[in-house]
Amino acid sequence: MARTKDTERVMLVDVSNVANSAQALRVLESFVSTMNLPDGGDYAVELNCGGLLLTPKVFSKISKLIRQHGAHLETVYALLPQTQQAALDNGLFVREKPAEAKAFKVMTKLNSQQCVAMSQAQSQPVGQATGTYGTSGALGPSLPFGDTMSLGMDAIDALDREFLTPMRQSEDDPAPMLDSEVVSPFLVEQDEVKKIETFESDSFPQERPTLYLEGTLRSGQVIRYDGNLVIVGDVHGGSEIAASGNIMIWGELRGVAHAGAKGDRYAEIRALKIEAVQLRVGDVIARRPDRIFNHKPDEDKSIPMPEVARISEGEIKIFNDVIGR
Amino acid sequence: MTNKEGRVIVITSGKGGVGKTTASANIATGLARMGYKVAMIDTDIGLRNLDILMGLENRIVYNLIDVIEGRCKLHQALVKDKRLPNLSLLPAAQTRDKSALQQDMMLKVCDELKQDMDFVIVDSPAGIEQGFQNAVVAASEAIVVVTPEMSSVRDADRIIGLLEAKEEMINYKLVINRVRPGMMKSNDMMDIDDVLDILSIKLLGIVPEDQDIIISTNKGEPIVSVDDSLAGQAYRNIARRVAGEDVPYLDLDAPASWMDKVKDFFGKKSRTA
Repeated sequence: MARTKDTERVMLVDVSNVANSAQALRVLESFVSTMNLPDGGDYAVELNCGGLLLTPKVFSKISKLIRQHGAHLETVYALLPQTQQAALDNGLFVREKPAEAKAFKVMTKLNSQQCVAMSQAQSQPVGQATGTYGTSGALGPSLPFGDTMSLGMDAIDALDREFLTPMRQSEDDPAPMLDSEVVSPFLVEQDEVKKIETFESDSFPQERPTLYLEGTLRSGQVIRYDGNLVIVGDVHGGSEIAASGNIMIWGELRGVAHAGAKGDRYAEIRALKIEAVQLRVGDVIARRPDRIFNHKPDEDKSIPMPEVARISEGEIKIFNDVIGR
Repeated sequence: MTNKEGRVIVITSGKGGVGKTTASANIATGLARMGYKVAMIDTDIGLRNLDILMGLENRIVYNLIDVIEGRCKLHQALVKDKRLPNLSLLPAAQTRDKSALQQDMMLKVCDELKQDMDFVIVDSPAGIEQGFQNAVVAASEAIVVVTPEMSSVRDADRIIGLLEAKEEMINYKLVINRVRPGMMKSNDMMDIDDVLDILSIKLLGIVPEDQDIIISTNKGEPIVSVDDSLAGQAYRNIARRVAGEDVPYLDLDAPASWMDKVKDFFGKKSRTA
């Protein structure tokens, strides 16, 4: 979603395709954390928001984020008057569209791939939880998968390197769990997904269809859907759900969940409570830490906070899902 | 051991709930603790449990059916044990049923697996239908698990009959599980000799009823690794017998108390180990 203009020290980041401000922040974060600017130059960033609604608060966060990485936000392209006003409030140049809009679209795809490739190459040490995104305050403290399970685990097991190796995409390894049929009490029509494609899937979140299901998913039952998946009910251990888009569970998630099953690393898994045995987003896997036998302390009986799992700094982490970010 | 093919041993019982999976986990772990390269195969497609007993549920990415249907290679589906590097598990698929597995495919998987392994332990599902047939197809040895109850013994007898009818089956032995010495003494339970009389099959081991088994199952740590447990000791002995050692049977009459340990220390009454 980003592109560097060769001629000048100006970078154009395109967030017009994302669904909300949180995703926009994430795209930006993954871009700026991989851009690796040489010292000494003053680099300008241009942001294409398209029809996205962003508040002044978000703009100040974006500015701060970019400043932390040795550049500054200069120009904002926005179609919505509210977003334009918000950018103006932050002292930014505002225009409606980038100059060469048509050529730009092609560039986006190419560069988004590069962007993903770069963040894959970056190997983050396991356990460094708070990155730029976490400290930007958009979503509260960022927690690695293990710690949120509230089961008395000590080690952070979100990314076991050895375990992860077979999951990485390579030519001769077929993609996991993507080509069996739907076995479930629910009759689901879906396209068979044959292999994980890289990031350039042309179905962006808002264009994907959504499957809405009510009921308890029990051990051995499977839901796979090419689109977003909403389940109102609990997803028990031993069941599997996979969606090419986002997954939302209005209940407890204990089974295996795979969001972005076609390779979308921006996909998210939301649930009222995430106790999953394994979480998969795109081509990344996180497993629940061992020693699940310890019973939870009493404080966990308080009102549960909805949780969201997504990729941050190359690994899957669980965040408290705060509404109204 | 590495030059020749590994031994494929199926753990079966006919009746459900007698401890097949527990026995599989413990015998495999016991053998691995002795240094052998061991693989477990869970053939209970649709009702998999062995991964939970081993505490490996969260590590499963691919399973037996994925291997058979060509979605991954065998080595990718093998889940390495978290404690013993020479022990691995080929998990069953939870989201499929028994019909997903065919005998010729099972044979192929076992043949490939035993090239690298000293032992391949196959955990069979309950029953005598297709699932059982799949589990035994590649095995040349069998361990029949039985509890000292009439229903279990009857089912085991049926199973032994089926095993005897198999040409490739060269060796099958009995493990008597959940034995309560006190009840046997007071004639409230079939005793070891009764069971052996009815089944006329060689005894491989006797495992006492032990509530620590429940704890170890929930923890995902086989009891064979718990040093001071009697059931653990029983499984360690069974593993040694499977490996070909001559180990005397446990004296289950000895009360397992701290007093006993004191006596052991003074050599007055030594429990056979």
